[in-house]
Amino acid sequence: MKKNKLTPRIIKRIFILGGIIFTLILSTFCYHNFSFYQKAKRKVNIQKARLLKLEKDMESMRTSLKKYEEEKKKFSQLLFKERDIPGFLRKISSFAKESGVKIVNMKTKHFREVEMMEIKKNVSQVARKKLSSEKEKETITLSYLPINIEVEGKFGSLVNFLIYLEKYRQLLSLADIKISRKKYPILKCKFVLKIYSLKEAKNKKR
Amino acid sequence: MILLSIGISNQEIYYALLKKRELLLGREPLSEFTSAAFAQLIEKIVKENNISPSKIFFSIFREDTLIHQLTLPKMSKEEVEEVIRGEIERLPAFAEKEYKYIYSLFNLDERRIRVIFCALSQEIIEAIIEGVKKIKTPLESIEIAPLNFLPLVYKLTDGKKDGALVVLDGKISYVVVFFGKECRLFYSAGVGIDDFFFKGKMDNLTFSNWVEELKRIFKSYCVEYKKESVERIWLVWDEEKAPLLDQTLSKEIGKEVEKIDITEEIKVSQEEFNSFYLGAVSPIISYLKKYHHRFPFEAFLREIKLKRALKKGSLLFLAYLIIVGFLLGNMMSIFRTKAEKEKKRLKEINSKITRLEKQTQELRKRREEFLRIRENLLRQAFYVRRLNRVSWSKVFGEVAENLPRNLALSSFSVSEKGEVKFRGESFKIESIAELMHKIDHLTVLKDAKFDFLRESKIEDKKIFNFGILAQLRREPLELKKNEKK
Repeated sequence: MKKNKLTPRIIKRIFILGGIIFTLILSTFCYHNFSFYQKAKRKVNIQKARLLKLEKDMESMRTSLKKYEEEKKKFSQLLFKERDIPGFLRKISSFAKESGVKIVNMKTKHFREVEMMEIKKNVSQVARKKLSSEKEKETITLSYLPINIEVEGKFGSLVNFLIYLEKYRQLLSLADIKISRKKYPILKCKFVLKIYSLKEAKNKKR
Repeated sequence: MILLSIGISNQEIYYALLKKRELLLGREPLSEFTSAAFAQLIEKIVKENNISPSKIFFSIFREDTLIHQLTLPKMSKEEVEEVIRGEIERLPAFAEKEYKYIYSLFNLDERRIRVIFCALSQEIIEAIIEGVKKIKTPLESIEIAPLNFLPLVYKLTDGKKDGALVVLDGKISYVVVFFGKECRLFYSAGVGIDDFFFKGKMDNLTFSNWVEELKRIFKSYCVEYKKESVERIWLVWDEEKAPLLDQTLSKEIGKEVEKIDITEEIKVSQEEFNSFYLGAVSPIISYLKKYHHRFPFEAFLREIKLKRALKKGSLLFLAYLIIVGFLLGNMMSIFRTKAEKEKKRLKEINSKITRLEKQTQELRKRREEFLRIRENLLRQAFYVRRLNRVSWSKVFGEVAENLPRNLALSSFSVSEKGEVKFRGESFKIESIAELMHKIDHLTVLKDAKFDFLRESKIEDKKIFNFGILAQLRREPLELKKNEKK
């Protein structure tokens, strides 16, 4: 008679062992999925924080740009636009009339970029290089339109005329002023009136 | 839980029924040893007592059951089993028949071992199994009496003295001598209670012979194990047949003879309990108290128990697989779904980040460009503003106000660089000097110096043509901090 060593207790143990192995295998898979999920979640959190930072940066940059745009708008309001020039020339005639001066000659030239001669004089070579490289990059720059004006009138009229010009709401400057006697009390005054405008690089030579 | 235990002897069955902690005892005649007869008897018991047993136990107490003792030299387990099988198959009842056997062995001394084995024909086992199958009640165990009484007797001894169990059946009697919790000697004698007790009368001669045989057995045990005597004797017999047999035996043998007290194990009156039913009660007590038998009775039902365990185990295992599989699988699926979602989210965030980074880069570029232009414009604007600070009306006004008498200007010019040139005529040099002096004290001009001086005559009057150079007063070209902002 052959003795079978399998007993109900062994069978029970086998099933328990099977159950444990099954549970362990499933638990391992479960843990694997859990850790995979945790890893993904962690990555998402990191990227979310990065995204938030980026959004903040963008918001701050947008705010800065908006501010700069407003500044630019305000600044450009102080400057001449091309469409303002004919009106301004008419205005000069009217100022002359009001001041009692006679415009003998008025000639507009091309727009030129504002060059800071005194700055250039003082800056080092390195800084100058930097300035020139920046200039190369520039797209918008402050330019002026020189208008050579020659007027005649009494001293008081000339001063009044200049006061009118100086008080003009948009940015302009006077240069190379020369007053000379014509026939007393009439004086001849020559000067360059510069009216300022924002110009793009391609328009600089106009 | 209702437990039914059936003891099978040669001519009858006796049963013990435990129902609601109450023990019911009974006996029925057994005409033939077949599964049908078993089923019929069990059905009768069930019907009479109106019960539905949860488990059924069997205790075999028959002459065709082999219980034997062997003394062997020390050998391996396989060899012992070989010897046992040889011994069993030597008997005609077991020769060339299927049977099952169990055994218990212990070391007699350094060279010898003692084996007590019992064998049960496969026919008996199958008849029992088939009979129980018909009433569809789980068969818990098949035990061999009187070997299954031993845990009950062990409980009654302190284990330091030798004791003996004497079981008296109709035509046979068994003697088991034990020490501690180990069966040391098994002896079966061909004399039963029916041999010396018939119709209420005792055959003194046969009884005396039997007592003498018992004495011889005990003496032989004492000699073999070098003991003085067997201290206590427990007697199991049919008390209905011979009510005072224990006292008679005690007198004859000169030792204390007791009944096995099971009142501590199960609720029963010791006086009313006939120890003859111990064969049926013993499996119930062992089951309830979880007594461990030295004889592995479970071997008789190995296949059926294995099948049952396999079936039960498979069902439980399947249920476990389904439940745990469902739970863990569900968790796994949840985590996987979540992980997939997170992955998808991550992809979306990453693409958003890439887009935003591109936009940010563009914005940064724009801002830098803007800042650069702004800085340059500010620098230019500051320069223009500085130029513009020179109020020409004020310059002309101050110059006109401070012109000395006897001096006339023919021209007055200011270059873009701020160089001022005076040209004029004067009758007196002092007036020219006064003009130069005044120029130095003007708020709009500074650094007056002579350019030239020429003398000429106009209408016989001496006149001086002069040229004076000066500089416009301007603030140095530096961006102040607040202006930069």
